[in-house]
Amino acid sequence: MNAALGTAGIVLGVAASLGGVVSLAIALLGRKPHLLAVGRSYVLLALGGAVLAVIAMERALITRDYTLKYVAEHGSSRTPPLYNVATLWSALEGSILLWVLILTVYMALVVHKFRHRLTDPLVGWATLTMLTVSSFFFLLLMFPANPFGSFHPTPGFDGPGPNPLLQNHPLMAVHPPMLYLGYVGFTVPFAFAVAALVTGRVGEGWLLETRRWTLFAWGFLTIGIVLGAWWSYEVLNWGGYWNWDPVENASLLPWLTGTAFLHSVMVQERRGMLRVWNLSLLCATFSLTILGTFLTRSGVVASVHAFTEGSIGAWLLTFFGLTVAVTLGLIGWRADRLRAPGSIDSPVSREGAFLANNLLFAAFAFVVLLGTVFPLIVEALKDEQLSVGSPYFNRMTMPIGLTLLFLMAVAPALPWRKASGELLSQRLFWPAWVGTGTVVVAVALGARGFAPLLAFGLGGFAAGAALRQVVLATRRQGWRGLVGRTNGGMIVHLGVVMIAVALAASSSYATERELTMKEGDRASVGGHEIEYLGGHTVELSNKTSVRARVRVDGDRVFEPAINRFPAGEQSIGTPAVDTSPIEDVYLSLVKAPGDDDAQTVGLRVVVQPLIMWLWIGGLVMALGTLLAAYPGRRRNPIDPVSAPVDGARRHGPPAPAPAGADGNGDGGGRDEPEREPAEVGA
Amino acid sequence: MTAARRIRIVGWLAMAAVLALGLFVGITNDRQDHNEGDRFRSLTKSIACPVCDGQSVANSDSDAAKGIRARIAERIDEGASDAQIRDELAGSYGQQILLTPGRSGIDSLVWTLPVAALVVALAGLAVAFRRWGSGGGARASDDDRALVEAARGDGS
Amino acid sequence: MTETLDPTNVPDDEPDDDGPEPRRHVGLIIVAIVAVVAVALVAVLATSQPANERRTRSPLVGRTVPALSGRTLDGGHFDIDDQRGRWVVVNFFATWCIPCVQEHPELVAFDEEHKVPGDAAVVSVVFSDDPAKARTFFARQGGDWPVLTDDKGSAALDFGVPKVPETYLVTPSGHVAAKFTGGVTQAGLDQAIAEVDRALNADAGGGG
Repeated sequence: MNAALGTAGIVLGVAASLGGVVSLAIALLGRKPHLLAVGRSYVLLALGGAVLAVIAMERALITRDYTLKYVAEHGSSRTPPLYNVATLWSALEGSILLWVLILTVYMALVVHKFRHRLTDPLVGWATLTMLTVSSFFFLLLMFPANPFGSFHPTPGFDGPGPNPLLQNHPLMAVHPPMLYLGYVGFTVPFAFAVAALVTGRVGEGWLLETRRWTLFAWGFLTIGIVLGAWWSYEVLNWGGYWNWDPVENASLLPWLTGTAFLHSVMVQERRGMLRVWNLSLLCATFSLTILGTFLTRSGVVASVHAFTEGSIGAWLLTFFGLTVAVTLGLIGWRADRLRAPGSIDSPVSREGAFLANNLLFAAFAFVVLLGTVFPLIVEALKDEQLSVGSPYFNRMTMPIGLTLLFLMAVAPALPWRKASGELLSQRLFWPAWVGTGTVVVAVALGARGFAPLLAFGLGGFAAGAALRQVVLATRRQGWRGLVGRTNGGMIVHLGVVMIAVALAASSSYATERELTMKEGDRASVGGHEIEYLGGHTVELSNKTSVRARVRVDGDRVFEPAINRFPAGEQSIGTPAVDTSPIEDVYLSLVKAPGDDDAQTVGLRVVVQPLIMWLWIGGLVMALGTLLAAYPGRRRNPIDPVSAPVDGARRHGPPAPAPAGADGNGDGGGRDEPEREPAEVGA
Repeated sequence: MTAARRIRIVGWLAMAAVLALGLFVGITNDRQDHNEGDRFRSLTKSIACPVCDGQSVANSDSDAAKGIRARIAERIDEGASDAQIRDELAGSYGQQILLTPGRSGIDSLVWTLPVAALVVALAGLAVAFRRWGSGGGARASDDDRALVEAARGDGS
Repeated sequence: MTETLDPTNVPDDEPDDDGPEPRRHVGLIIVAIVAVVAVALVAVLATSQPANERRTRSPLVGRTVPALSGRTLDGGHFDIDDQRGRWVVVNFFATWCIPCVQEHPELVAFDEEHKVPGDAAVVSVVFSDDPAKARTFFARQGGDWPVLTDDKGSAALDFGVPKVPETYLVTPSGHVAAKFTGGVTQAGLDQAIAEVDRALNADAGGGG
C-alpha cells in the first residue's frame, strides 16, 4: 500500500511538473498571458504529489514496512524513532524525496506570493523554470532513484538500519534538511534570473522581489554547513570539524557564490551596475548546487559522505550541463541589454569594496572547485592518481580569508562613490583600536605566531567596524537600528568574526596526545588532568557500546565509547567532549579497554581553544540573517534611490532607479540610512 | 588642522606603536618547540589514510592508518627526512597517499592556476577602472536626445 | 502620450565610441571561455571512474618486489628471495574479511595445480588479525603454504596494502607483475601468469 501511494505521488509529481512546463510554454510562446494562471494549479498538484510520496515513505519507515526495498535496506526495528524518521534522508532515494518536497513547497510559496501577478510573463517564465527543475527531480525518482521498489522479506526479516555513522547524533535529523532548504531555496532566485533574461526585463524589479528568498536560502545553507561541521566534530572521532572533503566542498561552493551575490546585489540596487555579473552569480550558484549533488551522488570522488547508486550520476551531470548551457546562452543572447550606463568612480569606495569582496569570493570558490576536481582532471590527462587534501586548501584559502576579514572591517566605513582619507581616518579609528586591543590581549594571554595574531587583529578590527555601525544606527533609530539589511548584515559579520577567530585559535593552538592508560592512571594534556576510571559495556537497542569513564580536571566524568553495530562489522567511535567557552577537551577512544590482556585503554585527547565560538558564531549569523530579512518601513521597491527633488515625487509614477545617485549616494526613502552623523570632517 | 584631527593623528601613531610592540612580542617569543612531536603531527596530517577517502592518517583510526603512523614514527626515530618518508610511502601506496600535490609538472597547476586567475581578474578590473574613469558614463545618442526633446515638449 | 523613459532599453544604434560593441565582444568572449571550461569539466566528470574502482593501480608494478620475509604460522621462516625462479602469489588476507574467505578455495586450487610442476607458489600474509585465528582458519579451510604473521604490519606497509583482500603476482625474476584487489580466482591467476609470461617473452625475443 505504501509503495502504491508513494508511486502514485511520484507519478502525480511528474505529470504535474511536465504538464505545467508544457502548458506554460504554450501560453508564453503563444503570447497568451491570461493562460498563465494555470501554473498555480500545476504547482499545487506537484506539491500534492511530493507530500503524498513523503508521507507514504515515512509511514513505511515508521511501521517498518519491509515490502519496500528502501526500508528493507535502511530501516530497522532497532532504530530509535527520531533516527527512523530521519532515515528518509539518510540514503540516496529518500534524500531526493526530501529535495522534491522542499522544492514544491518553495514553488507553492512563490505562486502564492505572486498570486495577483501570475499573468505577468516574468512570473510565468519563473514558474516554468521551477517546474522544469521539479520535473527533473521527479523523473529522478521515477527512474534511477526510485525509493518505492519492492522487496520480498522473509518472515522475521529485520533491516540493518541506517549507516551507523548516521545514528550517532541527533544533529543527523537537522543537518540535511537545513542544507536542502538552502540548496533548494536558491532555485527561486535562479528561476527569476532566467525569467528576467528570457523576457529581457533585466531591470532591478525582479531582484528586489526575490531578495528575501535569496537571503533565507543563504541563511539556511549557512546553518546547514555549520551544523554539518558541528556534527563532524561530535561524531567523527578525530576532533576536527572541517576536512575539505569533496562533499563538504560541494556545500561550500554555492555558499561562496551566494555570499558574493548578496553583496554585489547592493551595488546593482544602488548604481544599476554589475547586472551581468549578478545574474551569472545566481546561475552559478544554482548550477553549483546541481554539481554538488552530482559529486555527492555519483561516486566519482571518494568521500566519507558520498552515497551513490547506478546511473543517477549520468542524469545529474546531464542536467548540470544543460543548466550551464542554457544560462550561458541566455546571458550571451541578452548581453547587449545588460550593459550598465554607470561606472565605478574609485576603487576606494563601497562599490570598490564590494567588487573586491566578489573577486575574493570568486577566487575562494575557484580554489575549492579546482582542488576538488583536480584529481579527476589529472587522472583524465595523465592516468595518474593524486590527492588534494586539507593542507592544500588551508594554505590557499588562508590569505583569502584574512583579506576578507580586512574588507569586512573597512567596507562598512566606506561611503558610496568615493572616500577621502580624512573620512576613513575618522570612521576607522575606533575599530582599529579594537583590533589593536585584540592583538594586545591575545599576546598577553599567551598567544603567539604571526598568522593567528593577524587573524585576531583583523577579526577585532572587523568586529569593531560592525559594532560601530550598529551602535550608530541604534543611537539614531532605537530598536530599528538592529534590523534591516545593513544592520542585520553587521550582526552576520559579527558571527563571521567569531567563527574566524575560533578557526584561527583552534587550529593554531591545539594540543593532541594519544595515551595508553590503565585503570587509575592519570595524565596531563594541555593543562588538563585526565584520569581513567575504568571501562564498561552497555547494551542498547541498536548497538553495543563499550565505554571508558574518564574524569577531566578532577571534576566531571565523560564516557567516550566505541559502538559496535550488529549489522556490519563496523565499530564506530563516539567521542565525549568537555566544552567550555575557553576550550574543549575532546576525548575519543582509540582502543577499547579489554582488547588485550592488560586492560589498557587507548585514549586520544585533543585540547582546542574557542571551539564553542564556532557554533555560537553560526547562531549569530543565523540571527543576523533574520534581522536582515526584517522588512523596513513599507516602501515601493522601485522608488528612486536618490533624495527626491521635491516631496511630491515620492508617490508619483514609478520611475526606475536611475543610475548614479547624487553625491554620497544616500537614499531619501531607504530604511537603513548610510549617512554618518559626523561626516565630512575638518 | 583642527585639534580633533591632530589628536586623531596622534592616536593613530600611538596605535601603530602599540600594535608593532604587540606583534613583536607575539612573533619573536614564539615558544613553540619544533621537535619531533610537531614533525610527526605535520607529517601525519599530510599523508592520506588509504582506506578512508580523504582523511589524513592523523585523523583516522583504521588499521592501515595506525600502521602508517607507526611507520612514520619509526622512520622519524631512524633519522629519515620528511621528503624521504613521503617518498617511501608514495612508493608503496602510490602518489595518492600524499595529500599535497607535488610542485612539478601538471600537478603544480593546482597551485599556480588560482594565482594566475587572480592576476588576470585584477588586470581585468584595472582595465575596467581605467575605462570607467575616462569614459565617464553613458553617452546620449541622437535618438536619446530626440526622445528627451519630445518628452520635454509634451510636458511643458 | 509620453513614453516612460527606461534607461535599460536605450536603442542600440549609438555612434561607435567605446560603447556597446567592444563591450559586447568582451562579454561574448568571456561567455565563450566559460563555456569551454564548463564543457571540459563535464567531459572530465563524465569519463571519470568511480572512486572505489580506482585502487587496482600500484606503483609497485614493474619494480622489484619489496623484501618479504619473516616467521610463518607453523614456526618456520620464509623469504621471498628464496623463491627466485618461480611465480609467487602474495596474498594479504584476514579471517574477518568475507571476500578473503570466499577466495580461499580458489587459492587452494591454484596451489594444488602448481604444486607438482613447482612453477608457482603461494604465500599469505596476515593483515590486522590474530595469528591464532589464522591458524584455525587454515586448519579448517585447507592450504599448506607459508603464512606470514607480519606482527608489526610492515609487510602491509611495504606493499602499500590499505585493506584486504589484496594479491600481488611476482615474476620468477622477482618483479611485481600485477596487483589484484577484491578476490582472485584460480583461472584469473593462471590467465594473468600466461599473459605476463607472453609479454615478457615477447620483450626478451624482440629486444634482446
